[in-house]
Amino acid sequence: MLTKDLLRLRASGSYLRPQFLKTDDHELLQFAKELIAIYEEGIGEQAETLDNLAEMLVLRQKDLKLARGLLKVVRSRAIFSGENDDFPYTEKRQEVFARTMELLRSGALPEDPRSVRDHIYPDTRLLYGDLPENEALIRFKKTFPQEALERYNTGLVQGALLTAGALELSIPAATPAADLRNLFRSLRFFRLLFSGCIEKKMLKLVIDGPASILENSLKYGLQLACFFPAVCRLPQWKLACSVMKNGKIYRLVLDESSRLQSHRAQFSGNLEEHRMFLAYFREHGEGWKIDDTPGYLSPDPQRIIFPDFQFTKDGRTVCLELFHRWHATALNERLANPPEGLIIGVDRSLLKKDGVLKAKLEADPFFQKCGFFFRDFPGTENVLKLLNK
Amino acid sequence: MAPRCTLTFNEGTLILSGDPDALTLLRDELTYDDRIRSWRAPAYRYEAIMRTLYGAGVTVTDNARNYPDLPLTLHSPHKPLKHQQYAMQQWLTAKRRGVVVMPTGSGKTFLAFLAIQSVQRPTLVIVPTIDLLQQWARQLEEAFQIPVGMLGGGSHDIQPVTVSTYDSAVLRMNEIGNRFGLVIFDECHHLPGEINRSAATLCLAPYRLGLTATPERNDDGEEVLQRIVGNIVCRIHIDELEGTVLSPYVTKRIFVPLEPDELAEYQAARKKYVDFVRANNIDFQAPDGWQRFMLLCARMNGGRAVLQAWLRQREIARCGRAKLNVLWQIIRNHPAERCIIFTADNDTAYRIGEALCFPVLTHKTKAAERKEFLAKFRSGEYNVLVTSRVLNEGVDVPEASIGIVVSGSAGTREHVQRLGRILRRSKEGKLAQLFELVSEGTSEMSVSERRRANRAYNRRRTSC
Repeated sequence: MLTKDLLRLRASGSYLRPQFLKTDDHELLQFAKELIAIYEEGIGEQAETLDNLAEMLVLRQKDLKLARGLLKVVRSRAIFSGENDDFPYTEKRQEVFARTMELLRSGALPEDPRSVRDHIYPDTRLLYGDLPENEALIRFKKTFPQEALERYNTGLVQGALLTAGALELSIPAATPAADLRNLFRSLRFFRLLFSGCIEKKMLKLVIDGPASILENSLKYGLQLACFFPAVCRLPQWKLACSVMKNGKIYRLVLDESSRLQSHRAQFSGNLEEHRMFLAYFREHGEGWKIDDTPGYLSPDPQRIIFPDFQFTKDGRTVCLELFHRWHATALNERLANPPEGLIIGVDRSLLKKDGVLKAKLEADPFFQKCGFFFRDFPGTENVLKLLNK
Repeated sequence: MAPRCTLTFNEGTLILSGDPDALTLLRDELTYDDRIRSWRAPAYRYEAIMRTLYGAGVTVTDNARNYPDLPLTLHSPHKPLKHQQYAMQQWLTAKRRGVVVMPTGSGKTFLAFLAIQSVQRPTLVIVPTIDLLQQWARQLEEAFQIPVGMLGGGSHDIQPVTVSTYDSAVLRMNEIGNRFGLVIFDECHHLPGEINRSAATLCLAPYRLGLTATPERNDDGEEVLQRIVGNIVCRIHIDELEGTVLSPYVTKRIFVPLEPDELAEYQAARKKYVDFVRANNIDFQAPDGWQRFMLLCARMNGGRAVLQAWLRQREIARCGRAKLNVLWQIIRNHPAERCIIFTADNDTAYRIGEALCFPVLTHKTKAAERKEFLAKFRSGEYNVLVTSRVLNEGVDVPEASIGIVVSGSAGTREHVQRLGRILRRSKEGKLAQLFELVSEGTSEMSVSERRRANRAYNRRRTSC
């Protein structure tokens, strides 16, 4: 994501408009290509050398802020080494400084400071030649000019979201379940809460953090910014939030027409365990049919629940929601208002340092009837026991 | 029957439920959270909420606090000094919530030990740097003879007594904020920042101690500190402890005339830069002033030369040849004393390090070498250490008796902190000396005046 000094956001009345790059702009694509080439062809070169080359390219651009932002995006694909060469800088410094201190104490150093260096260390090699600016480029993760521009645009929005207290997200209620699932997994992973309702066939969510309603609203900016790429994957969406610029509050409103891309891999947590559970249950499910992409439940217009699995048999439908290590808040909410037709599984790691929650679960009537504990991923037996009750 | 109320800790906040009579007492503290259909309050209001509920005779089920009492004995040969006794008394009188302002080297750490012993609860100490993290952990283990946890710098160990960096505390407080009864904020002037303050607000610890030598901030930080930690309960100045707890000291400002060729170069470069600023109406006081300057330098013909001019005049003012001569003479005149050289920027620090073959410690120094430099400076193997800003505060540098400010900012805080680095009382007869080198006839003159606006400098200025 782009830092505050690189954000290009234009105020238009009470709105803030990100100055997106046209990802098919020939000049920008050419500039991105040249930046990429500096690092792609610079394996083994010093960071300072490459950065100076890039800086010269940047300074020739009309929009310096844009150029620096794009440079940041491109440079983030570069991996530098800790040392440029095999010269033992640390050991040499130890040797030199020991000599300096000995000569200093004995008064044997010249009066003219310009002669001191030659007296102690008559070598043209720098004492501090291993500083970060002297590190060598060892790898450059493959990227393309258009992808760099797309990452820039997403990074621009993420940078703006760092000062957001909450996101208002509207999505068609008919959005494919798999897309919604990924969105809500991301939400839970980044420890964000949502309140939502369905209104005129639109799912309307307000996404923020537990303490957002009290204060500390800036605490969740980073989490909201990290979460945002999951929104970009949706086919249709509209996002609005209040953000700060130069001490004033503006509205930021975006939708899928901005054509922002997420280049982050699909959020997958527990993928291998998920596949194993599916396969095993299909084989030993005692007639229950399992679906790992169920739709959401909406027990009332103000609540939306995304179960992880849905089971059907003989006209009966039961959903399973799993609560992992980072889901304490969501679990408390579920216990407070458990809907019909839901069973829940709770990862023991969630309870590891929370004796109060453990005691609460053991005493909770809903959990006693419809819940079970698991480690990493549920076993089929626990699930079947509850399904068959 | 008495009204009832239940408190739970959740993600750095408190969730409350219970009888309306009980909740009404807290109407100013609570916000209804529609998402979970419950009342919520910030965790740091725990002490105030409990006091209100108990005061009104409410039966409270406290599921929020997740720590037991902790019997702790302080094993130390030291007895509290008068000023520490006074500070401790003031903090106790303030119901164990407040900020103590004491100079560096006057025993804030020992004061913290006294506080921990008095409270007898699991304690979290929050510090700004990894060096301090390790230092505090070591000292706490010795003082209380118990294992001490560490959060930050690669460590993730939580014990009844734990030290954490501010960064790690901010990241983890929503999970661990109910596990400590006392939280101590070292260098607490860092706390009021927008992000850092959640280390205090997401924690329910009823007892809080803030420690700092320099509480002043330009923003509303002092108000925030008052709200989330407590009032300043005790303020002790450097000059009150000088000669007793702290070493006697003198400060010497040395005006260094630039050498003729550098003076000419400085004047030419400065004129180029100032003419450009004036011609383009650049106001550096404006929020975007600096950015405008950089943009114009990049775009306009000759702009790059202006930027180079700005850099060069700054470089000459900060450490021209004449300053290097004076610096070197001071060091040669004090060969047996331990000396810290402070600069405004890393480039100047490394130039001095390269020219005089001195160890340089900046944020670029790798952890192992950093540890080695500090250990050798502490033991006396190294007499000189060059640094830009990283030794301004925090790191325990026990024996330095000479400080040389080659360049610095106009901030009084930095200047007082740097003075504090050399005042630790070590041996009889120590006279700490802080030299401040100012390039005569340059912008450094006004910077120097501004940073000396503190009573620590009032009575003993000498200039040469």
